[in-house]
Amino acid sequence: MNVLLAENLQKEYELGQHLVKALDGISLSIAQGEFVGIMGPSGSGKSTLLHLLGGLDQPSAGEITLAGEQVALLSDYQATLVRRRNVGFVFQFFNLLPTLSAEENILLPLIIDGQKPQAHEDRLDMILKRVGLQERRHHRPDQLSGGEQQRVALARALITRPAIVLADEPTGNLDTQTGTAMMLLLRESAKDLNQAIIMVTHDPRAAAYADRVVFLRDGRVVQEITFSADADLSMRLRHVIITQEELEA
Amino acid sequence: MLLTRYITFRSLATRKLRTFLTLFAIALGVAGIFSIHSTNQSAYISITRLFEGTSGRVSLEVRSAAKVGGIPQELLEVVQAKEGIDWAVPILILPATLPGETPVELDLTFFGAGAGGLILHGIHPEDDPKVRDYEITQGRFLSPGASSREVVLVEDYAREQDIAVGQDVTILTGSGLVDLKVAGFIARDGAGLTNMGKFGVLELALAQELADREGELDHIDIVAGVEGGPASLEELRESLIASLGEAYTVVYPASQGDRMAQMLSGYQIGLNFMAGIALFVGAFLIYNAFSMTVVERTRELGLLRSVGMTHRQVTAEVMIEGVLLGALGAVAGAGGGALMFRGLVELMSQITGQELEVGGLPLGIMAGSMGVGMTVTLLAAALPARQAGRISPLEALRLRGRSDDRWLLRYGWIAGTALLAASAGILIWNPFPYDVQFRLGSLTVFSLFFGAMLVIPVTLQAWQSLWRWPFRLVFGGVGDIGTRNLERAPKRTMLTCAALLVGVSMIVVTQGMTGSFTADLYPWIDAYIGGDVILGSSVPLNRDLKEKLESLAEVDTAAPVRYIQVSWQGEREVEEISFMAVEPDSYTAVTRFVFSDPEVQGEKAVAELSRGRALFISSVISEKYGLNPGDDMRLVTREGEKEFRIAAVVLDFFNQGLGVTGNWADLEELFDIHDVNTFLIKGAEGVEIQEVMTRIAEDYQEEYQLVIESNQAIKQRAGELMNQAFGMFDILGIIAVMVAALGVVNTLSMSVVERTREIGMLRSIGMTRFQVVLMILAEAALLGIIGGLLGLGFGVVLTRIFLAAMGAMSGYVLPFILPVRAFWLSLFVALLTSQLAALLPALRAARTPMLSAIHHE
Ligand SMILES: Nc1ncnc2c1ncn2[C@@H]1O[C@H](COP(=O)(O)OP(=O)(O)OP(=O)(O)O)[C@@H](O)[C@H]1O
Ligand SMILES: [Mg+2]
Repeated sequence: MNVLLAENLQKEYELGQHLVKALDGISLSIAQGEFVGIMGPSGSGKSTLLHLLGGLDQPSAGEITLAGEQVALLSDYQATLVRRRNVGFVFQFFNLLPTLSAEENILLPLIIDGQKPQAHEDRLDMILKRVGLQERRHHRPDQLSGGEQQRVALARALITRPAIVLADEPTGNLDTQTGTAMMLLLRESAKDLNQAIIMVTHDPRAAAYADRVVFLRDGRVVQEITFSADADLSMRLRHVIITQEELEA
Repeated sequence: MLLTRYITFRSLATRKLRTFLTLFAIALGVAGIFSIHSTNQSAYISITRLFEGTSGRVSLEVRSAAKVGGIPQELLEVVQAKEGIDWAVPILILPATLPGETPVELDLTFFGAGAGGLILHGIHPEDDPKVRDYEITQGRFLSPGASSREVVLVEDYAREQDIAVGQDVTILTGSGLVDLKVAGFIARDGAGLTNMGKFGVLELALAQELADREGELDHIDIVAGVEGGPASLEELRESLIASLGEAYTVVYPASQGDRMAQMLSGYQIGLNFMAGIALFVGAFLIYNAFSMTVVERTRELGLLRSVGMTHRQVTAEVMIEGVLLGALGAVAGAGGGALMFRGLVELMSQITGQELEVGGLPLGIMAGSMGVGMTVTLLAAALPARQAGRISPLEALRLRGRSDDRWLLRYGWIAGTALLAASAGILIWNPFPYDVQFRLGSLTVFSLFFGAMLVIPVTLQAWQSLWRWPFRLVFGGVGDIGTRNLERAPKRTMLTCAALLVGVSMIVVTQGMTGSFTADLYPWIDAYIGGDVILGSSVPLNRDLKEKLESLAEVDTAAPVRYIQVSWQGEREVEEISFMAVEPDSYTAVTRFVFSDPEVQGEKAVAELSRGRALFISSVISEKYGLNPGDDMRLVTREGEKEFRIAAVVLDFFNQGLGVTGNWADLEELFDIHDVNTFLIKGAEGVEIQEVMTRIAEDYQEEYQLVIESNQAIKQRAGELMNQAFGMFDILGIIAVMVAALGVVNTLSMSVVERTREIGMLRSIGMTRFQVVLMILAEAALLGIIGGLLGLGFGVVLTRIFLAAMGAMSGYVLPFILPVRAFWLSLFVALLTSQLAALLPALRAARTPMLSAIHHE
């Protein structure tokens, strides 16, 4: 079952007299529990796509269906509610509130939604355990390492059981080891929680953890590879790198 | 560097509103200091001039020891015969009025009520000009000789009354109407300043005839010819007293000016305090605005650093902005201050009932206040400028405020608690004598203020958790997120709260002072302006009028009142107090006494007063001199010093509370005074007050030149007068609150700018625009609550200090009464201000573009 369906997405930016075509007809569908990587050279439209899918911006044309609901053409308020309940974001820079503890940061979407955090204790405990932050739940962001901060951000994205988690270069700011741990966490979350995840990345090693990798160029999907479930990591990595080189040539 | 200078000017131009507000703050401070100091100066100059003008070169005055009543003219020769005297001139004071001039209302000032009118001095035309300056502006001075029935008037006054030189004028004196020829005009200067320019002179003999006081004088003014300064003058004074005898006294002509100076100095302390506040809030706003600009220009300045500008150059860039704003603001402030100066002078004149000279602009003070304005601006800009200098090139790529407020959190509270403890110690323990304490007063106030301010940062968390639940109720979960932001910039939070604190405490002080005053003053005013109607006149009224009035069907009782000045032999020195003579029976029939001790048996006390040689003293005198019922007071009468028994203590604020109430019979017997100042009238049962007034006007107004006013009208005017005096505090409170509001705007705007990315993130994870607004409003609300509650506490302490200082200075001991309204008002104002001020930054935050917020970095 598809949780997310995007059809023929177009996005144009006006820059003075120029029209910049950031997205030029992208269609995409993602099933529940699927972990999709998006790759492409700088300026190919990866972030733009993610923003449209998450309802942060409106497409110039095309349709997006998220959890059975139209996301394009929503008012700002409606889009906000969709983001709040159906989308989880993880950004490259950790975007935590420095004044709140790790736990409070994770509960933020629920607090914003006016829900009682106590009602979600079980979910919180489960997710804290999953991201391995039980011991650190009362620490503030400046008392956490970069990897830990990013895990808090992931936990925050997961807490509401969103239809989809969108991550823009979540490992961009981490060293290789912590990056790898983050990838494992994303993959496990997708599997164990049956959570659809889309992740934009420059890093072939990160992309190798996904179930499927979509390649963009000049605002279009130029290639797509789906790994078979039993392919091991090094095979996947080789596949990604080869595809990347083919596309660049 | 020309290019960067251009960038600076452009940055001022793009931030128009802030540039304007900063200019406003500087101008406000400069204008405040300038106007207040020039008003002070002008007050002193006016008093000195008034005093020098009316007293001229007079160094001693001979008067009746009883203060009231005249002295025999023969004394003049005795005095003139003494050695060491250049001139001795006689003066007889003749109260008069021009028919048709009758004012519609009684003159009401803090010195008490009077009926205005013209004062004529009977003088020796050849001698008096040697003692005082008479500047003839038209016609000529008096020709000598009693046969000339002439008068010389102050020109301004005469013109107001359409009187020309050479014309005959009809003047009403105590003994009736008389026609006098106007020989000339004198300028309203020198002697012409007497009685605020409602003044004229005539030949002594003529004045004696008109006053029906042949052979009498009011005082003899002496110009001493002794060399050798104060010591030999004192010698002369003592020798004069010795040769004149007990019934007369010789005084320095200073007491009148002293009284005024003392009264003004009380007001000046208040003004100086306000100048201090203006300076503080101005400095705060400037600091705040500059920090804001630096925060906003962080990227730009970081960029300049990365392309090779040094720390110093960046700091200089910001300071140049300061110099520019300081200069512009100082000029604007000088202009505004000149206007405010005129307003303040007007207000002071109203309150003291004494016209003040405006004169030319005091350029020295103007330059001084502009200098202070520049200095404060540069000092306030220095911190943000230094901060700007420390921006690293890397910061061009980042958009985050850093907190360098660590020392404030670590050590601020220690300094704060120490200051609080020290000032609380001084206030509670009270180890110093009154006058030292008074001087310490303002220091204590400031240390209390800074102490409270410095503990704000460490207590932020406590405030936040204390108010968590109410905030969740009002603002929802996002309220919490908002209030926690205050901890991120403790210095900014502290200053903003402090600004709110000042504003709120000003309001509390105003409310508290007004409350305390009115609680005491209104019952007294109510009794003092007793009866239904009050009659006054600018000429002495005959006591016979009482019977005539009471014979009218509309009048039930007419109670005569007469005020005189008496000397009282206090413990250490001779004090001048006012003596209000009443007939206890008629007085209590018309109005009542307000006994300060509610347990007192009024009837017994009044009966004691009726028996004579008894006094009711004011609570002020009782407090100031430790006198109680049963004690004796020795007053100087025409019959020498006499003992009066104190029958009761009453509330009485006439003559600043330095007054006693005595029996009419004593007035006639011991002071030989038989005329009346005012009649308090009680209308007959069932008669409208208006009818009473109309009837009295018809029958007696013209004959006695009566000023008839209903006590309702007078009370209203008394209330207005008091409101005027407090109005100034109100205005200051409003300005302080406004400045605080601007501070809140700046602080929150800074907070919003610094958090652009964060707000973008919150929006992206599902915070609605409305919730963003709520979040910022919650932040502001906590600022408001901290500022409001601290301001309330500070205001209460301040009010008590003011009341205590006033008590120490003047003997007014007022009960501290804080109207409940003050409590709500201060919190309401603090909250409302903070919410209104937060609206703009909140809307700006709500419009934060999510994408660029997330995109960057
Ligand atoms: N707000 C905007 N206004 C104008 N053009 C934009 C805007 N945002 C993105 N673009 C343009 O759209 C194109 C796609 O940008 P996008 O940020 O999606 O690229 P990206 O694939 O995420 O690149 P990178 O890997 O560098 O992050 C680029 O050419 C960019 O210049
Ligand atoms: Mg991108």
